[in-house]
Amino acid sequence: MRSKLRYLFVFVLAFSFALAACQTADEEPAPAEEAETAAPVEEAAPVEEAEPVTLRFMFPEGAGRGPGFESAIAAYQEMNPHVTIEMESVPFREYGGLLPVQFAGDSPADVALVDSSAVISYAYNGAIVPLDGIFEQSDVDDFLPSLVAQATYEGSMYAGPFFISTQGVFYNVDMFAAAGVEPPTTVEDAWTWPEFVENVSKVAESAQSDEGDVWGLVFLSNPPGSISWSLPVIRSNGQPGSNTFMALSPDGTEVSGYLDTPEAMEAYQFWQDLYVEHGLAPQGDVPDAFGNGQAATMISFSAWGSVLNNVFPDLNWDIMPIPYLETHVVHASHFMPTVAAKSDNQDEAKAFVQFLSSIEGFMAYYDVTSDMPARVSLLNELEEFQVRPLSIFKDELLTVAYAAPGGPGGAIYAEIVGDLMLDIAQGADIEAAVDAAVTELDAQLAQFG
Amino acid sequence: MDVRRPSAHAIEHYRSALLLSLPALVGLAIFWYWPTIQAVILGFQDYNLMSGSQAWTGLENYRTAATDPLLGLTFLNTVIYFLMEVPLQMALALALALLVRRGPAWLRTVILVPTVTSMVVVSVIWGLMYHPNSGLINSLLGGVGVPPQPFLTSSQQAMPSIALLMIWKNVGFSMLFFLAGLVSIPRNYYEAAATDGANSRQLFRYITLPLLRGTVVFLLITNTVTAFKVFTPIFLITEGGPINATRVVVLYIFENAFRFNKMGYAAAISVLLALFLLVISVYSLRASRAR
Amino acid sequence: MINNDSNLPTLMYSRIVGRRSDRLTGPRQRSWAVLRLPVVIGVAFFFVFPYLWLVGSSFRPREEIFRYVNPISWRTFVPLAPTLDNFRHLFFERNFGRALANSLVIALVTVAITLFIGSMIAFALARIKFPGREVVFVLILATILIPFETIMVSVFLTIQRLGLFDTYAALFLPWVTDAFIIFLLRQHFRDIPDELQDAAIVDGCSLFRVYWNVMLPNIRPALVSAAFVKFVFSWDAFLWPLIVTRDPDLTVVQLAISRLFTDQNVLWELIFAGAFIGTVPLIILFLFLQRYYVEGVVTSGFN
Repeated sequence: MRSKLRYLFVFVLAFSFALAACQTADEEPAPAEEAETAAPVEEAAPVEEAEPVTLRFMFPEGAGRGPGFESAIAAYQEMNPHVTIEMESVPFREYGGLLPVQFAGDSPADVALVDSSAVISYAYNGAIVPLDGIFEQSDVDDFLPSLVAQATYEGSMYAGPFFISTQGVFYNVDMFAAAGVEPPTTVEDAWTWPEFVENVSKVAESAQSDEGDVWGLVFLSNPPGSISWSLPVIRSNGQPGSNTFMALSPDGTEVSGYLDTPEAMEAYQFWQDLYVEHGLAPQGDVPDAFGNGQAATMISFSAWGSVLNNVFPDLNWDIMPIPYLETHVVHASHFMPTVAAKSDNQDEAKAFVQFLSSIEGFMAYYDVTSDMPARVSLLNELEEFQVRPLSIFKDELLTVAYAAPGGPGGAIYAEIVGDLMLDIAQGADIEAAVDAAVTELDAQLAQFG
Repeated sequence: MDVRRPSAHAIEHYRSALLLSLPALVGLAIFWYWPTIQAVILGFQDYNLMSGSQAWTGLENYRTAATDPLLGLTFLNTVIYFLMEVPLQMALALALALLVRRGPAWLRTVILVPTVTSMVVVSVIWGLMYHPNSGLINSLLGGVGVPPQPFLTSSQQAMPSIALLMIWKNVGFSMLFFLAGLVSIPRNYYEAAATDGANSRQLFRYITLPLLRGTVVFLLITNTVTAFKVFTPIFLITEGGPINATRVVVLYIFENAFRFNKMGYAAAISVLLALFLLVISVYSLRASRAR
Repeated sequence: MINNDSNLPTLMYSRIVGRRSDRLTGPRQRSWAVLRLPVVIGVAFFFVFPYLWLVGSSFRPREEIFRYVNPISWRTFVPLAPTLDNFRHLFFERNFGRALANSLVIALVTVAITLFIGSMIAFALARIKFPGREVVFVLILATILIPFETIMVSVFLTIQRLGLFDTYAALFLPWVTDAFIIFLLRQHFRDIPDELQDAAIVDGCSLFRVYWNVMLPNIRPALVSAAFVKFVFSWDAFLWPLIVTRDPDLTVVQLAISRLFTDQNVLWELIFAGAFIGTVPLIILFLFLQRYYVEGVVTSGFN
């Protein structure tokens, strides 16, 4: 018995060395080297003479995203036969963590999708290159302004707008009908938050049963940790252009006087009341609460409807616009393609980003995978966004959508403010929590001055 | 062997020792020492991970560390976690090892089940059990008349809640090592002592514990180091909240390195942490030999 | 595991009590014997309860997964409409089998190399006197003191520069020198009586033969523990494979599971099913290794 174990041991050992040896032999030709000498290629360059180029394109995995990009890549490769694009699809949840590590490596992917809130930060740190000259003014005018703002650093765009996501309130039609509550149907008629609380409390109360609690409001995770969901509540308590509304100094280096105005403090109190005073939303996560009929409403992103249709086909849902306190505001953001500074094929990479951001590029993707386009013209053209429920998202995008506060310190800002909103929802002392967050954030942001 | 010049026999020994050590030392050099040396160097630099630009700043990072109130807080939180997790985990592991040594065989496997279950899934299930509004633990507490507790959402209870979860998850490993130590104790020691009239408590005190000393030292040091480097469960469950109550050192290192883009400062904190742990480990090893 | 046989508790009780040695029969022992069964059941329940929930969930259709979490009842654990679709989807549409095979191979290779080179150096450190061995030992121990998050980027660069990015070797090479394991084995080598080694050397064994034929068999329980822990560690690895591989053919189990968290939807039913399958090989492995924990096997060598 003793010796058997040792033989197994030796066998596995020998096997592993063999494995390691084969592997290294297999992988000898590094893909990037083949393309080293490729000349910068203009669109008009004669296809036959161009050196073959391989681009690596990295993006976070998402429903239908693989097939969608495959279709866009196929369209691009047909026009540019010398270019081969390899897709690297990375688990979504880890994407934000992997990006800095891969940019720190020797050979990051040539083109990588970067979340719009992080583009300026990567630009500031020199990880990605400006895309000067690849967009016409007519393109820039057609892109949604919130995305252009999040892609622009020191006068240059560092990412190409491609798709867009925003938020709405999904509500349980049956519960609302049973309670006799009529939700708003257009963005102009959107409820204010006090109206929302009053009406939804009524709905949740009438829906209570022995089967467990029914929450008034849930988010994708509860309480939401990302500022996409929580910060608009605070910003909406300020007038347009006010410090409360901006929530960050214009140069992106200061939050005192922005996150701690009297209006902001009032809004934090409201946010806490949603959880503590009204008990409308759960202080810990309740997965699938909305789909299972355990919540009357859910604030989620624009593509959520297709998820609901797939997973909970029996659920009768509709969408109303996001509520607000004083000024109607929703956040709009999404991943955008960028070109790595360490790429050996920057010209080809830029040309590919240019294609993705073009109407043809998006349409090749859209043929396979429905997503909201980052171009106003397409938003106004494509059929499905002209009719309810998706028209609510389109109208929000065209009238009340803004970029989240960002700048070079955008990632730090999102982290600290996200934690602050979470703490407040869980019952923290507001005054002390805001004070601590503002102090820490001001100290962190000072480096970008 | 107190001769000045090593004998041929001793040299033969050195040669064998070197040969036996070489593979491990080469691996350590490439994948641990070289990166660690680089980290130590980074501690004296302002290093931008993404552009690769680096500038010497001398002791600046260490000066920052000395006056950083958050760093002090994260060290304190880590010590609190350590005090809650390690002693209880070790005591429980030893008790379980004694229980399962003669107990039903399936019980060993059952206690190891949490150690093999993915942390992501564990954090979801425990999150639901700890739910402040509708969790299982609150239902059980309600049954005996205890009001609902906030658990992970309260700055007082979050750290004990995570420590309990991690004891549940890791105690199986420690139990396994205790078990390996227990079964290595020759049975005739017990038999001889029992013949001399020793009761079970005396057997435990004078035979089991002393012969487990190697295992205890090993577990004490490794569990301490693991506790001081705790990161994944906190990253997955509370991300340092509520109100920084679970913000531990390695989370702070991670944030500085990958979110605040202050790799140099992150490296400096790591060096401080490593030195602190080195002192503890060497002290424990010395103490264990002195006895 | 649970059935209606009302005799089961008594049967189990007598089996457990019957195993106790007869010589320990004071009043304390008797009260402990009475308490033993409730303790065993309580302990088992505490450790296995969340797992039962996981197993039940992996057979549920998507819409059922979280529906019966609250209030707690039998429906929380038992699928109402049990299905194998989750497993079918994982294996046929997400190539989960490949991920399992990769994880298995990588874990076996990691364990074998780690134990081999780790036990060699541990033996040298514990049983051969050479100048500076304490220093070498502390230097090895020091490698567990630096958080991996700090040196991760640097190890990643090393892997890239060795040309190992996106290879199997990248997945296990950095992990085969494990200071924890070296430390553990050294502690166990030290506990072996000197007479054993001396006798072998007098018999003319080389040090390597002493190590291989005399010492290794005597620390078998420690080797088995080390193998199990290292296997679990390798199996659970996730951050590192994420960083050093892109090729879908190199995907490991934990990476395959993390792909189920998409930005639109968390595929919980597949996550539970994947997590369930992910634990099965480990539990089987442990059941297989368990017999090495039987008392007496180990000491028979030199009793």
